[in-house]
Amino acid sequence: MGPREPAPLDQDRALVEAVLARVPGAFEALVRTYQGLCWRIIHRMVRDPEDARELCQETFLRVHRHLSQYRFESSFRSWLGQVAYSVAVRYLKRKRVLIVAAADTDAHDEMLARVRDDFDLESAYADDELVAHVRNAIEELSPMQRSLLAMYHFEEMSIGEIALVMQTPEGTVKSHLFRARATLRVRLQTILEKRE
Amino acid sequence: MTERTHRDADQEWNHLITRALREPVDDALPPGFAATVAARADAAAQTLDRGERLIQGALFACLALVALVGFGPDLVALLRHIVIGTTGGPSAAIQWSGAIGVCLVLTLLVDMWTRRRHAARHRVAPRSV
Repeated sequence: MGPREPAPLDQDRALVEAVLARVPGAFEALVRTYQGLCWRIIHRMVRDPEDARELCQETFLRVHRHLSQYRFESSFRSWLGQVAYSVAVRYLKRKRVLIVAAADTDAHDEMLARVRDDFDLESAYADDELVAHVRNAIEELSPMQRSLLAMYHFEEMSIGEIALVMQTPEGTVKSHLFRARATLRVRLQTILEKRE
Repeated sequence: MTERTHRDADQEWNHLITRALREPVDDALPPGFAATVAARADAAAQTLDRGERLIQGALFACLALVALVGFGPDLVALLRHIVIGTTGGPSAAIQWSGAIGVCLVLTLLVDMWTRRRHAARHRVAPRSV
């Protein structure tokens, strides 16, 4: 389930109009087009695969119910992402899980100041063990930052689109993205230093 | 040997994160997920439609009952006027009720026609949408 090229806007419009006109198979086609995006946003936040599947289903049912409210003012994937994100946020609130950890916003600048640029990341990229470490480090981030990284790096969404999805100012998205990446870098740096 | 720039480091870092974000396939949504969700959405919409039709029917029944109770004698007079041609035209209340009734029926018919036309225009193979 790799990332998809975003569907062109007119293709999205045709699909949405077909669903609204209750064309048989149209909603299934829409789900098939966007299920990967929905999964990646939700799964990165909630982590439990079973719950993530339930929440994906809930997202699409909600989309179906409220599709007539979509006004084509933003891309359909941002609109759907917004629904998926809010479904996941509600679930995490119910479970009393912090969506943004204190360390995401507090001054853990001391740690960030240790970020270096002189790693041989090119060879690190080929190193499966290191990739696994990065994966683990991603898992330790807050739900919001995990989802943010997936949207930015995997879905290749713009900062503006992510801000729409998260209903947050663009500056906040940039700041969280910077902190998430810096945190990963510091963790990787520690691992590499231990290896030397 | 070319010097690694800050930009290169950023790009390599992005690649590394993207690679790490690729999840195992067995964690993903099951095959047939789209069909299952579509079937559930369809069932939910049908339930909603049935509810809508029920409420609509109940409203019409109420309207008819109120008309019958409130304007019964006038209605009889109107019918007599139409059928037999007796004197005494329909009252203003009856005229307005009739006009509203005609408007409601017309609105319903136009709505039904628009929906059918819209559905016919989009009747294409779903995969090619």
